[in-house]
Amino acid sequence: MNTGVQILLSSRQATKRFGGVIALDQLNLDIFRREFFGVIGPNGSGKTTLFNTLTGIFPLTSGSFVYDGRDLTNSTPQQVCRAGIARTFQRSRVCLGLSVFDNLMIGNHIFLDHGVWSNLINRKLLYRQLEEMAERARTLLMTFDPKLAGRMGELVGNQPMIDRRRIEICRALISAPKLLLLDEPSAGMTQREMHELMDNLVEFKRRAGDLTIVLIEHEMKIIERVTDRCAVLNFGRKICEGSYAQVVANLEVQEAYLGTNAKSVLA
Amino acid sequence: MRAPPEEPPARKSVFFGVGGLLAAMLYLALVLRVDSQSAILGLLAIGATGVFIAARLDLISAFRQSYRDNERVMDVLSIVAVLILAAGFHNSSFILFLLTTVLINIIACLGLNLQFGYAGMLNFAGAAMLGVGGYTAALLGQNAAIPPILLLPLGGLFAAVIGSILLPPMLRTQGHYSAVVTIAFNLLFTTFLEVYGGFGGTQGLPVQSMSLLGLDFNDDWKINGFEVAFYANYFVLGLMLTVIVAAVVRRMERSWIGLSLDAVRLDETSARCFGVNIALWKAVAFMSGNFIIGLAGTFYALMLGYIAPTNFTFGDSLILVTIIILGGLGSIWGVILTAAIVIILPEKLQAIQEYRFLLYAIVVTFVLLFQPGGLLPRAPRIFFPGWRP
Repeated sequence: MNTGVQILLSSRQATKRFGGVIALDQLNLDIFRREFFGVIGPNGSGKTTLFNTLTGIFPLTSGSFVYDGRDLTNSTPQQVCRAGIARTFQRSRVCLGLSVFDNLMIGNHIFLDHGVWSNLINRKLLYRQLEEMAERARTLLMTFDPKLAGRMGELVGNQPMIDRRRIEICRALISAPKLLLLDEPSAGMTQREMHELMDNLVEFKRRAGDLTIVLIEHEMKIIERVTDRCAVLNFGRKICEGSYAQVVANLEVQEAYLGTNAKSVLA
Repeated sequence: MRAPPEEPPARKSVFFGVGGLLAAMLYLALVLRVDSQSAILGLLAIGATGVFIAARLDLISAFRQSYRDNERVMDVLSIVAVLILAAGFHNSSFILFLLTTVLINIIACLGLNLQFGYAGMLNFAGAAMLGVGGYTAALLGQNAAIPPILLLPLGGLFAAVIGSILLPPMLRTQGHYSAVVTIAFNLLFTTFLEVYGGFGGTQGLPVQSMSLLGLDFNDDWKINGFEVAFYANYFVLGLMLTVIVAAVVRRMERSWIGLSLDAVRLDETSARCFGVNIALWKAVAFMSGNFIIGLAGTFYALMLGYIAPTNFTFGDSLILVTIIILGGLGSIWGVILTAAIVIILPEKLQAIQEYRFLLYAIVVTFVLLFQPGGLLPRAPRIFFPGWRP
């Protein structure tokens, strides 16, 4: 690239069929290192399928994903995680019966020492790692909500919705991923809560340095507020890509979202 | 209730813990001592009322809190209390045998808890795993010059290895489907033993007695005119095994291992996305669980002195599963409490012996409806006593 920006992730002709349904249709997408990238599109347009195939939950029917210079097509979720990609889920998948701390530590799985020696016999080693991890978890939660950092021992099931979202995002961030995939984090939150969460996230990203975020979102205000670029999917195909201003000006996008006489509505 | 933040880190009271323990031990001693059926029924009514009133007065949560706050002390006191209880029945073979049977069931259920309570793998082949341990004791004990104490880990090892045959089909299926695999295994296991003549068939096999450092466990002994039934030997060893197994299982739960197993149980998909190797952790839970169950089975066979396929039927597996569901999945104290109830009650109350499966089915249904966490629900994980993140 002559612009000096580096491509972190690219999908080449990525296609996913579920029986007769084409959820992803020859999708070509380049995501640059350190950018905040938005993915929008109507329901059923293939946004979540993109995440699910990328993270190895389903295999691609054809096409490929290249991440950080290596082929990541049809890797297992475990390999994807170890490559430095973390995600959240559209329907919150935090473990309600576990404490906030336990939930964060599930996100930290690959950095924990699971050996029999430290866990069962010489538990001083476990204690040391526990203290270290608790400190890391506390620092991370402080960025999002200092009050939540004081409630790490409480069950997630006793926390309000906004905190569950924060916990889920922190669970994905605690392993210091290079690429964070956020699947509609605004669902079930008020606009004010959502803006607060996004501001925290932008602040975290700025401080983390080498972090790229891909955000699936319906709420256009949020896309406008936080993303550098975005792509619009419809019926599994990319219909437009560019800055928010470019995308909303695109006629095909307006049709996909609002029907054929969209221009008058938007104006 | 949340403690106010300015509370000083003073020693928490052991009062409720000790009181509850004493009450439970006295009650258990009475139930074991009394023989007339009407007296037993009366005791049951008193016990149920007592528990109901204690629950109403919040005494039970105070009891649990006291146990949690003074864990080391209460652990030791509980062991001492059980030893004193058993000493009170030193010349009664039947009671000591019954108490040891409870201990064996506790050990087996702790193994089952690793599988179902933590990793979420429902195993209806618990009795078969006990059987693998038992037959290991019978077959290896008669043929080779292996010291009986070594039979215990060997029995566990055999159960873990033979049980791992089930892993490939269990890893390919989930939930109920995976449970069906284990049901099939238990049925095949007993049928095989009955049909195949090599292992004694339906007649079963004799098992040598336990002996350690020249002491044969099947000898009664006498100190200062104190007659001690030989089952006391088995009881003491059984208690030691129970304490060791409970300590290991508790440490597993209170570590990254337990957390990984919880992650596997609660949400496989998201766990995989965080790099959790589902197959590996299921294998860890299933094999270590089977090791513990096999160990219990070996000990059981050594105590019984004779085993047959009827000791290890699918019905016995159901009892084990009943115990961990009633106690509260993943709850160690829950297993201890319900194992005692489920094993002792039918022995003392002959009237329900015939109908115990029906009774358990009803009780399990009610517990799942009204107290889904079990009688003593599992407490949130504390990695170390007193440690908070």
